[in-house]
Amino acid sequence: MNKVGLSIAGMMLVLGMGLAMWTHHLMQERLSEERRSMMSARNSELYQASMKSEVEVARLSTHLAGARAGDWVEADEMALALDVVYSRHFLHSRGAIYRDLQSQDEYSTAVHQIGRQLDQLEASMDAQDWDAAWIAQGEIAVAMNEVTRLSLRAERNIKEAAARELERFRQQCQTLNLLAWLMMVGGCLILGVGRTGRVRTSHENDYELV
Amino acid sequence: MLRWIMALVVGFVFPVMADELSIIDSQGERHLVKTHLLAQQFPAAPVVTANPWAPEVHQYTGINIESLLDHYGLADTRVRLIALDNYSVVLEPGELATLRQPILATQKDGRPLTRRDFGPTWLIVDFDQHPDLDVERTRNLSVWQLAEIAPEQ
Repeated sequence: MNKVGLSIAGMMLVLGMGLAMWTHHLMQERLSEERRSMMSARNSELYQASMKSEVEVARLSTHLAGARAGDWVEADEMALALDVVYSRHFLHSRGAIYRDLQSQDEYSTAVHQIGRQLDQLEASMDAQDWDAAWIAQGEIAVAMNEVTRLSLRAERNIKEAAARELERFRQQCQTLNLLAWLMMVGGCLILGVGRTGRVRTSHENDYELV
Repeated sequence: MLRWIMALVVGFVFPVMADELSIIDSQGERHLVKTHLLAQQFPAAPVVTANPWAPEVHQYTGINIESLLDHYGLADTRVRLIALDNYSVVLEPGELATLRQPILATQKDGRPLTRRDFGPTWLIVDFDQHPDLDVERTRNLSVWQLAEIAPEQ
């Protein structure tokens, strides 16, 4: 086997091993990145947070229903419920987890409507106009439901994009692994063929194999 | 009717100013403490950071939660953090150290945190300084509108 064949085989082996190691490194890096960013947790955050907001609107509605019926007014609890709904609104309108959604017209309209209705609701509560407050909370509930729907849609899109990206990464790793194996097997074959050829030549010319 | 109006007035005015934190110590005794007094007693170094819920960078100041838990004998026990909206999470012993000096913020940019702004107390972690902390567990522990700290049975 001449030197060129030997160096080609050696290079293929080294490249194959390097490629295999690099693929392994890519996979490890991806794994640690997944751990760090917790993509799955982040993906499910949008919908969960919206659902929680709906619960808080429902809690406020319960207090308003009592006040409207003239049965009872738990002012502390009602004020707390209103503050919590306000904070949920701020989360939806300013929170970084909703940043991608905030650029969408549908979402920003719904959130803006919630803000407007909340101000109206607070004014009605201050004036003890429970009928107006009831209508405002109804509007808030509908808008919050829309926010939840959009959040769910966005979450599904994120999950689908992540799944597609994962599939692409899997295929890329598969290709790289196959290439690495081919190079290593090819390198070994070249070495083996060269060795066999050398034995045959030595036999025909009746030389001792060194 | 007068009682109604009084209840409404007190109800709408008082809670906005309410800045108390309920702490149940290791002996099971409940303490209702003003948060600004706790901030004076257990001052924490300010944290300047953004977070997933408030994307702008703000300076948060408040209570050193490690000293607070230590004071009430809760440093080595499982502690439940309960928020005004009934959200709660259990803080495991030693877990605070992994959050690298979080604080119980009572002020944002020098102004008291209101309930509408995730106050009166909010467990703040320095996400800008330690981006590796931006994981699900830390997010779960970042309780806002914190109302009560109690030992977990």
